[in-house]
Amino acid sequence: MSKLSGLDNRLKEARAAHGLTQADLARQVGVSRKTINTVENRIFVPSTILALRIAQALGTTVEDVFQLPPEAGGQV
Amino acid sequence: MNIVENAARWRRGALSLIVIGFIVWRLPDMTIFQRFVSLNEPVSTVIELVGAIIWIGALIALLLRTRADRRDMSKAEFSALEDERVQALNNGAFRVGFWVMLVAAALLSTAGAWDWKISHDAADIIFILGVAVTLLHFVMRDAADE
Repeated sequence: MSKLSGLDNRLKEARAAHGLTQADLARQVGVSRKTINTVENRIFVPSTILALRIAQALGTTVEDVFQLPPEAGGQV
Repeated sequence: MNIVENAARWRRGALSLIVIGFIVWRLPDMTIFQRFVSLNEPVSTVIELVGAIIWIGALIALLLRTRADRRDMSKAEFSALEDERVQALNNGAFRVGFWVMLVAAALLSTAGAWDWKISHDAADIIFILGVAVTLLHFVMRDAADE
């Protein structure tokens, strides 16, 4: 999974704001640390369910964490 | 390294051994291989046997380890080992393996028109490529996701 996904995110910032490591967040949402890492680095696009779980674990909404890139019609 | 990553690394090692064992088991029996390397009968049989033992041993070890992980890990840890990224990697690996098999079948059936020995090995080559490419694709992608 080396190609960059078409989904921007602020996961790293949101996670850091909560003082969570990748492993902490991974444990909370039931995936591996690598999965969180690949989502953060735009390598892997999470499913809707995982995106909702991540947003829930960070106490925010999916739209706050994940955005479409501007070239795909997302807000700048 | 946490328990999930340790188990994932162990799984990659076992899958690599399965590929190596499978290739070592099947290769000496192929006509095209014997054209390049002349092995007498007992030697090639021993090599095939070693390959088969590695293949079966790694396969059984993988199954036993998976059962042990299911028993010893918490439910969350075990599901993290098979999370959606791993499932996506599995799907990608099967897709690549399928296309490699199709292309190999097309090329070998064409080449077989000129050389009957190639058609004699075609099934083995397609089978080996399908197994090896699928497993190695998964192993390399999983290892690269860091």
